Amino acid sequence: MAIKVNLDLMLVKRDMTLTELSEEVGVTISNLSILKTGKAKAVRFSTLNAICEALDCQPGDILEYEADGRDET
Amino acid sequence: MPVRFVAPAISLQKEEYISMARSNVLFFILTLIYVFVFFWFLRKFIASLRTPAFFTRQNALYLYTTATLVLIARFLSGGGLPGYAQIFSEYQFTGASKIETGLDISIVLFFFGLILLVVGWCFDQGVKLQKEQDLTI
Repeated sequence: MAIKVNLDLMLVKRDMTLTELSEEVGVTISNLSILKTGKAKAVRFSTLNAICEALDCQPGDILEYEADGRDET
Repeated sequence: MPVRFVAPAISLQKEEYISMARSNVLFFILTLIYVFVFFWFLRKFIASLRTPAFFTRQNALYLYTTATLVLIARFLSGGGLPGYAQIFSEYQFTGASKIETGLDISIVLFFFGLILLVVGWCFDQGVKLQKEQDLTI
């Protein structure tokens, strides 16, 4: 998929662990891990909303489109 | 044993009788094995209805296997050696000169198998949707 998820970068910037984010957002660590590693097929707006609220960022800070058409799936 | 239905009015050569009896016993055993395998796969599929993970690849395969077994049944009940044995074990006489078999449900089984195959394909699509749902955060 050409959409890259920069969740780990944001976690470092906000000095937060995946566990803490999981507790704040209400998504399991395994699901966040799936999102972080780029294996997710889709993200709900409600989840994206909760993540942006927890990390105090914009969706564009977490999601990035790489135009070279690289498919990691 | 199915051989108990042989009526004494029919004149059979001993060798012919033994051949028919053997083929009938073989068919009887094959039918038992077939029925066991069929219900084993069907039971596995039905048992999975109680689990939360219902739309899985394994359950789709169980359904496909059950459908294939039903399709095969059409050919097992139709002709060749099993058909010969069927005449021997289940029949009616008319004036001791005519042997009639029972109702042939093989074509019904064939269509039922096809329908089951379509259901299996729909289930497979459900498995794909479930996979996508599992990877939706």
